[in-house]
Amino acid sequence: MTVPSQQSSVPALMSSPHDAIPSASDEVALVARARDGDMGSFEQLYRATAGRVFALCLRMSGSRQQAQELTHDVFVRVWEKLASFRGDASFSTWLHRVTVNVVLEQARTDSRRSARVALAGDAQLSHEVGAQDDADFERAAARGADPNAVGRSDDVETRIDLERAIALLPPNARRVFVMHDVQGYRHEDIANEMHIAEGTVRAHLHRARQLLMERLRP
Amino acid sequence: MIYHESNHLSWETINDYADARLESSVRRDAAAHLDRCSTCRDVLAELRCLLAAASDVPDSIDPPAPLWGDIQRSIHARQHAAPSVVAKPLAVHSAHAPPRWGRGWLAAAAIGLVVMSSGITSLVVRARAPEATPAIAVLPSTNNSSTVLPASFANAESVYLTSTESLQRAFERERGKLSPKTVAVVERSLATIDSAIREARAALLADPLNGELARLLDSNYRKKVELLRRAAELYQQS
Repeated sequence: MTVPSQQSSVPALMSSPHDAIPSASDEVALVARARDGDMGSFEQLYRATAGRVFALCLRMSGSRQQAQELTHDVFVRVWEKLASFRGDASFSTWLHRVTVNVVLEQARTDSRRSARVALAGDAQLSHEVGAQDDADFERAAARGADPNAVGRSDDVETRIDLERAIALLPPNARRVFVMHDVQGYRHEDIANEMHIAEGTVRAHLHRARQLLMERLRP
Repeated sequence: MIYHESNHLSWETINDYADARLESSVRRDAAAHLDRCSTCRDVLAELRCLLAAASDVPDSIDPPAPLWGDIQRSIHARQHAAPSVVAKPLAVHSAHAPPRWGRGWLAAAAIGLVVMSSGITSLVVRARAPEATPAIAVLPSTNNSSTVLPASFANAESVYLTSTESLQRAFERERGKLSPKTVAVVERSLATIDSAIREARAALLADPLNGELARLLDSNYRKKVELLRRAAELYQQS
C-alpha cells in the first residue's frame, strides 16, 4: 500500500493512453487555428479532451444531466476565451482551470438560488453541516443511487460502487474529495478555487472520506 | 491532541497521517501508536485503499454523442446574436433512464421557483425606478421599448413554446393519475414560473440588448420545460 504522494498544484487534464490526442506541437497548431475561427480544429480539440472534461464535471456535480450542461458551458466558454489563452500553460491545464471554474460558478449560482444560509466558518461547518450532510447522505443512500448519476458503465463493481458513492456525497464534500483525492489538488488550491478556508477544505475532505468508507464497507 | 478520547488516533490525525500533513514530531508519535494499535492500523489501511481507488478512477468518460452538436449550435448562435444572447440547448437526450423524483421534489421546486421569481420581480422593479440602484447594470436602451425579442432569442423561444405546449397538453390529459396534492403543487409551480417568464420577457422587450435578462428568461423557460418533464415522469410511473 503506497502513501499518497505530495499533491501538485493545479493539474492538467491527464491524457489517457487510449485517446487519440494531438501532440504538443499539433495542439498548439489546433489552438491557433481554432482561435482564428476554424471550427474543425476546435472539434479536434473537443474530441481529444471532452472525455476528461465530462468526467470531471460528472464527478463534481454527481449528475449526468448537470455534467452534460456543464461540459457544454465549458467548451462554449473556451471557444469564446481562446483569444485570451496566451499559451503560458498547456491547453489542457488551461482547459482544466476553466472546467473547475465553470463547475464552481454553477454551484455558487445554485446555492444562491436555493437560498441556503452560507457557511460562516470552520467551527460552524463541522458542527452544523456535518450533521445535515450525514442526514442528506443517508437519505440519498436509502433512496438508492440516482439512475442519472455516475457509475453506469462497464467498470468493475468496486469502481461502480465508488463512483456511485461519490455521486451521493453532499455537494461540497464531493467537490473537495474529487478535487483532492481524484484530481490531485492541494488544500490551498482548493480553498482558493472554492473561496473557503483551508480548514474548511480539510473538514469537507475528512467528512467525505468518512462517508465513503462507511458507504463502501461490505 | 492527536488522540480521540478512546486513546485511539483521531480521525483527523489518521487522515493527516495518510496525507503526510503532520509535523515530524507528531508524525513520530502517530507512527509509534500505529505500531502497537491494530485498530488504528486497520482504519489507516482502509483509508489508503479508498485513496488508491480514488486515484485509479478513469480519467475520461465519454459524453453523450449529441453534445458536440449542441456546443456547435450554441457557438454559432452567439456569433450571430446580440451580446451574450444565446439559448442553451434543452437537456441532451440521455441513453439512461430518467431519474425517479419523489413528490417532495415538486414542493422544493415550487419553493425554488418562488425565490427565483421574487428575484426577477425585484430586478424589474429596480430597473424601472431611475433613482434606484439596479441589482445589475440594466442600462436603458436609447430606443423606445421594442415589441420584438432579439432574433436569436425569438427562435429559441419558439422552440421552448412548442415543447412546453406539448408537455402541458400531456399534463392536462394525465393529471388524473396524480394525487390532488401533487397536481396542486405542479399548478402552483407553473403559475409562479409563468409569472416569472412574463416579467423577464417584458423586461427584455424593454431592453433587448441586455444579455443578463436574456439569460434569465432562457433559464426560466428551461425550468418550465424541466418541471413539466418531471411531472410527466411521475404520471408515467403511477
